[in-house]
Amino acid sequence: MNARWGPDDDEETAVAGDLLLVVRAAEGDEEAFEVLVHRHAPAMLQLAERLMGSRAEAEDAVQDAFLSAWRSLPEYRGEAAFGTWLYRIVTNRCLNLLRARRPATDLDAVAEPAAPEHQSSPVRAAESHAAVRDLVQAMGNLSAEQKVCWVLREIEGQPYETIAQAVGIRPEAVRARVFRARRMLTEAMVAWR
Amino acid sequence: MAMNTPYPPENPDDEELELLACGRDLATVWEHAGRPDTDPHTATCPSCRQAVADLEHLRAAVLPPAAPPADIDTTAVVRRVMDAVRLELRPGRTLPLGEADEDSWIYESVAARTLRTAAEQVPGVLAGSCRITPPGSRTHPTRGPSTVHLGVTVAYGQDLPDTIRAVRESLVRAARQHLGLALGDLDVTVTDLHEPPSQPRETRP
Repeated sequence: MNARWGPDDDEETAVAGDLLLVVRAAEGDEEAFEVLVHRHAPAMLQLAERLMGSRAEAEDAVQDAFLSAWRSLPEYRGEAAFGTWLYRIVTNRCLNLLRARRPATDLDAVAEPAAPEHQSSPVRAAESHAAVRDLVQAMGNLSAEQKVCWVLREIEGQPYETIAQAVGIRPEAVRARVFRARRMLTEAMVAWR
Repeated sequence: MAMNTPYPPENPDDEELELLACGRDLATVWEHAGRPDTDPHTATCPSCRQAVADLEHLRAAVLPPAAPPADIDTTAVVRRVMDAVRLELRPGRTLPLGEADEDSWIYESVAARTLRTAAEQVPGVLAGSCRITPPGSRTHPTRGPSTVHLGVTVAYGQDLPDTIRAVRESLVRAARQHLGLALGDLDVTVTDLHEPPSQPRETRP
């Protein structure tokens, strides 16, 4: 089956190809769902790794998200493309995991440095060790919402409206969170100008 | 991307207002940084330039190298997801099989798989939704010929009446031979036309 649902040439074909598979998966066709998982797992893993900062946690989040998608498929009405729908589910799963990881702290409170295994990944090695350490620590101090909004905006390059839908808050609130995150992170980098 | 969208309403949240030494609002300076129509003030103002440089430094430190998602190894995740999916009990509708005095049943999703496969035996056909409804009410199905609603997409350029006829024959055969399921009304709907996947592309002069 996988052979006949081979790789897609372009996005339009991919979306059209998803359509039939989604209908089948919603009716309980596991093979159709497996093709969808294959197709979307790379992008979802990349997103989750950027949000969670570790590969292991990203895999757990994506696995949970796909299972949740499988269970919700019968109710999926196709208002958004399947990929967009999944993107939201993964974002929400990661948001919940980030919230659970570190209980919401007062922003002025001194947060503990992130444990090494929780290091927020997308920090380039080009920076000095000390700069990376400071940046990683600052990322660990972001609230779950700030982190998610900032990653989706600055690293995923998503428009504010898309982030607002994915996170379930107003675009103005997304802007405010992205700004706070930029503020906190640039502050941490000031010493390394 | 926001780069191409008109300027958003500025500073929706007064709490976030943070003014630079020059009096400009930091959030706005950052939002406009890198746009072609940047405020001319920003280009010369030391405070604004420092703020933009700080943001660019941050971006340079965090922007990931352009690793295409295709390079990510997803084998383990796909396997774990599918293992869990297959363990999940998703009880669907059950369909009665065989004669009136028999007590054999089959899940609709299982019978649908057989019928979709049968439809896809016909060249150029991809099967989508397949609903199989036994006679009787939803809660109390009775024995007798089941109604099938099947959605298919057909490759461009195929003879549709011929194709649908072949699909119907294939369905009836599979239902009888592989399932022992008596079919009543057989409703085949062409939901879309797709590009023939395996045909070589035309070569342009």
